[in-house]
Amino acid sequence: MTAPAVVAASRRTGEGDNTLIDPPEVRRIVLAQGIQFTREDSLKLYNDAVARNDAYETWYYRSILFPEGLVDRLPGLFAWELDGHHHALYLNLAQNVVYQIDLVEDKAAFRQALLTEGIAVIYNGHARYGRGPCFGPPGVFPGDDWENGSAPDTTGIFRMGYPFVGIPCHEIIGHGYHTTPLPATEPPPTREQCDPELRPHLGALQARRVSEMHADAMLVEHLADLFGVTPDSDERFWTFLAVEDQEHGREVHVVLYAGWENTPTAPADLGATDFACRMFCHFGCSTFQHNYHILRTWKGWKREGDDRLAYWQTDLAKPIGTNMFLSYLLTCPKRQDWQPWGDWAAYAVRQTNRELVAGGYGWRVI
Amino acid sequence: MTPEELGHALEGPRPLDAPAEAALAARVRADATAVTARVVELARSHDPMLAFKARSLAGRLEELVAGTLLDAPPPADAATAVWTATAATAATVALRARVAERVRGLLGDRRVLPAQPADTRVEEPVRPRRVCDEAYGLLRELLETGESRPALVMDRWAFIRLPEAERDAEIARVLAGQPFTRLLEDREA
Repeated sequence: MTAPAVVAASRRTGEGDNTLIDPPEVRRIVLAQGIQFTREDSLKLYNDAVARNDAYETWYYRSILFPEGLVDRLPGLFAWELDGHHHALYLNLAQNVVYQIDLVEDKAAFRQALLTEGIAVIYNGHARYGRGPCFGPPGVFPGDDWENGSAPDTTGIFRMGYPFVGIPCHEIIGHGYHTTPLPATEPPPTREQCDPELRPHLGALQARRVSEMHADAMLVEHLADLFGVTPDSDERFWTFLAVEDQEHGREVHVVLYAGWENTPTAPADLGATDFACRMFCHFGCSTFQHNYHILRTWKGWKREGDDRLAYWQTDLAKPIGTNMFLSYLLTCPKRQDWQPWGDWAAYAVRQTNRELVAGGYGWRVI
Repeated sequence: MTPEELGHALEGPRPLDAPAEAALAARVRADATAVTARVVELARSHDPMLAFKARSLAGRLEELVAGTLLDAPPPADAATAVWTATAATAATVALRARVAERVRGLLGDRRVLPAQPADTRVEEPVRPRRVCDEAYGLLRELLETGESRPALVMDRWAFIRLPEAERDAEIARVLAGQPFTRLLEDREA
C-alpha cells in the first residue's frame, strides 16, 4: 500500500447525508520536491547545522522541511510516514476544509499529480535555468538526472522551457550530464525561441568547436563526451561569452536545446501532459520569467474562471517560501468549503509576499 | 494591548506560528484603529456640527484614517458616501506622493544591501542589489506606468541583470524625467 487512504481530490463526499453538519471538503495538495531538495537532502543539512550548533541554519533548514517546518508554523498539523512517503492532514474548522498534503519526490508521481483533477500541485526545487522541474534521488551526484534523467520516467527534467537556453560550461561539466547543444549548421535561434536569460546575448553568438570552449584539455574531453562528439571534432555549436559568477569569470555559455513539447523526456514534458489539476505552483528560481509564457501562452493552459490557477516566483529563490505559502493556504481566515479558489490562493500569495518582504528576501510569489 | 505587552508578544527565538501571528495582528489592528473608527463613526453623525468637526479631524489624520474609512460599512446617504470616498482618496493620494518622494530620494543611494545567508543549493549566483536598484523597481511599481503586471515583473528582473553602469544610466534617465525603459524588449531588439 503506497497511497494514503484519503480521497484523491476535492469533492463533496457527504452532501445531503446530514442536514445538521456540513461535512468538510477534503482538499488535496501534492508537494513535489526536486533534485537536491528532497526531504533527505534538507534533513542532512539540518542535522549538519545542529551538529555545528549553528542556530540560524538549524532554524532555516528546519523551516523548509516537510512536514516539520509546516508543523512549526501550524500547530495541529498531523503528519505521518507511510511506506517511506510523507503526508500531512490539517483540519481548519473555520474554513470547513480538511487538507491532505502528500509529498512526492519523483517525476512520475509529479506528472501523475498534474494529471489529477481538482488538486493543487506545488513544485519546490531547481528551475534548471528555465528547463523545468527536475527530479533525482537524494545526494548530489553528477549525471543525467540533471538533464533528461538516468531513468527518464522518474528522474530528470520535466521540460517546460523555451526551445533554447544558454548554459555556462561549468554547469554542464560540474553536473556531468549528456545534453544537446545547438549545431552552428542550424540558424541561430530567434528571440521568441529563447529563454529571457539568453535573449540579451543573441547579438553576440559565436560558433565554437568543443575544443574552443574551455582552456583545460581534460575538461574539453569531458565536455565532448557529454555533447556526444570527439574532443577534436570540427563540429561547431552556438555559444556566447558571459560572466555567470565570479568564481568562473568570463566563460563560454552553450546554447542548448530545451523546449516543452516533443522533447527527449516526453511524455514527461508539458507538451505531452494535459494538466487536470486545478492549481499549479512552480516554486523554483525566476520561474515567472522562465516558464509563465510557456504554460500560459505556448501550451495554452490559461486561467478559466476559478480553474487553472498558476503561481510562480519572480527571482532567485530559496525553498523557504513553500512552507510559508502552504501555511497561508491552510489558514486563510474565511470559509472555504466548496468555495472558489481564487481568493484563497490570492490570500496565500499576499501573506507569503508580506513575510518575504519582512525577511528581506529578494523574490516574490506572483 | 500596551506597548510593553506587544514587546513581550514578539520576544522569543523563533517566528510566531501562523495562527498566533494572525491573532496578534488582529488584536493590534483593533487597538490601533479604535480611535480612528470612532472618528469615522462621529463623522456620520446626524448632528451636522458634530459630523463637520469629525470630518475635519479625519482630514487631518490623513493616511491614518484611510483604512478605517474603507472598513466601515458603506454609508446609506449619498453625501456621506461621497465624503467617505473623497476623504479616502485624498488620504491615499497624499500618502502615495509621500512614498514616491521617499523612494525617489533613494535612487541616489548606492549602498549594497547585505546579502541573505546563502542556501548553497541555489544554482544561479545571487546578484548584489543596491538600495537604488530596489528603489528603481519600487518607483516603477508605484507610479503605475501603464505596464501590465507581467511586464513590470519581467522588466524589474531584467533591470537587476544589467551591468551596474547600465543600471546607473537607466536610473539617471528616470531622475531626468524620462520614461522607464522597456528593458527586456529593448535589449532583445
